[in-house]
Amino acid sequence: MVLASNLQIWKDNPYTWGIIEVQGDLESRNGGALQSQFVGDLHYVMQSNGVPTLIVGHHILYGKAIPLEKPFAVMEKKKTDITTEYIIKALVDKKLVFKIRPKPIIAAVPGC
Amino acid sequence: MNIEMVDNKTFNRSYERTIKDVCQVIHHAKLEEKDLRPLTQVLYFAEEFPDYKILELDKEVFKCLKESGKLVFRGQKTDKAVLCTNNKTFDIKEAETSNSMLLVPNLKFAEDVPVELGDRDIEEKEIVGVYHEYFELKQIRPRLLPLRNFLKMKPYKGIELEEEDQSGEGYFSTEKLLEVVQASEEELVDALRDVQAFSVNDKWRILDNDYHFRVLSQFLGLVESNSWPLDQVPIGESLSELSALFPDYVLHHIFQIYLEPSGDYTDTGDELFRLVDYKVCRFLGSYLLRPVEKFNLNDFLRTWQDSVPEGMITSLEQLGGLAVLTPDSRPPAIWLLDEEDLPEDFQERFTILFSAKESWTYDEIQPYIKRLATEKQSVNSILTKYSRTSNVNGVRYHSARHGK
Repeated sequence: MVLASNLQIWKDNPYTWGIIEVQGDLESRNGGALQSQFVGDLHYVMQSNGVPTLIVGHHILYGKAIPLEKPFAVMEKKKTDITTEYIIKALVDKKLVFKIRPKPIIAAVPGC
Repeated sequence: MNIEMVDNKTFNRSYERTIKDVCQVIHHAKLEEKDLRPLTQVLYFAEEFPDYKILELDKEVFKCLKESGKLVFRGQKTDKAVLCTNNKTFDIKEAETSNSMLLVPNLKFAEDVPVELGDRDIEEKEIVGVYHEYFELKQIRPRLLPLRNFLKMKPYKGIELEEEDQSGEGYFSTEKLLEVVQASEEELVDALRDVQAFSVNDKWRILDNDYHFRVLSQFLGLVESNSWPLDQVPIGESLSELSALFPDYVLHHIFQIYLEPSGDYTDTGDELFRLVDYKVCRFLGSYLLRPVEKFNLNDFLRTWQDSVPEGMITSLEQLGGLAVLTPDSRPPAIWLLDEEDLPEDFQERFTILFSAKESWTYDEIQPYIKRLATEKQSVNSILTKYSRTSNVNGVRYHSARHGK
């Protein structure tokens, strides 16, 4: 197995990916595949602390930005007949964590 | 807890969220638009989730990646892969989290979003995967045991016995070795020095034992016949005297093992070197022991002392990690047990040691353990874990934990 780098990609712009961490699982209401679906709106409050605010379906979640002490590398597996290579697509050094229980939105959202 | 998304019948692939939708939801959620920064990131799942893996980078690894930009996974198909920087080796372990980690390229954090009031803007962001696991790294000692076995496949036996075609099995370039051992480049270079490998036509080789003995004996014979003091060996003259018998690269290799600079020169400018007693005695001792299963200790000590150049003094300490002796047996015996041939696995290694000999003093066993020690685990803590300590007349002995 060989080499895991493609530096140019992240050397120019290394920290542009992020992770949003939520408790439990995200599910589509009808149990279908997640791919292509709309998830929600992400806001930051105006105040200087910029609390991240995520509205998903009928829920509103307040979170927190957390720097990762040990950053994550996102690697893409490239397999040829001879070698397996991992390309580093991006580095992630911050995440948004939503661990407070979501608050329900009382009013009906159009389309439901 | 699970968060349910709004029915996807409404929000399928063709759904395009508009600024109006976003504002409406802000209103429904009883939030004030003026309290939210004017850029909203609208999150979708990507149409496809690429096969990404997430690796948590150890600080060392991160630093290496930034500096050299190189990380390498090593291991043959049957090995568990390790990750190497230029000088360290890491074990890769899967870690799980009950949370969902949504990976979002180009996600903007609060500091990337303007604070001033203005017309609301939206940016679409794709979640390219939902992760519950990632890989963690833990620094380990390089797995180097196969190295000697690889190099033993084609030991160097002299130029007349060299195969013409060295492209096949048993011949290893640095690149080829890096494919088959699990170590970083620096660790490999150190290990090659430890096993006394040298390079012939860009392939790493070790000397065949008998050939090694022949070259060393010729060299020691030359020193003796010229009555050179053991700490005043002229390297240029040695090389020219012996080059009719052995290729220069072999002589350089032998000199590198057995000589160290004395700092002096002859009148004609030839550099003077000192023969390293420890290395010479150790090799000649092991050479005597190798063909014999067990040696009578007293016979061995006499033969060994006779085999080294006059002026050198043999001592059993020179055979640490190489020979085991039982001075109390009848007759006292000594035999070869080379640390470098022992397994890397701690338990397996201790099993072999304690079946070779029931109890060991610290000084005897330490050379067999020291290569297993790390910054975090000293020889003493390894001994505490894998052996039973007893005290006989004030001397500490180590024996098997579950002794018979």
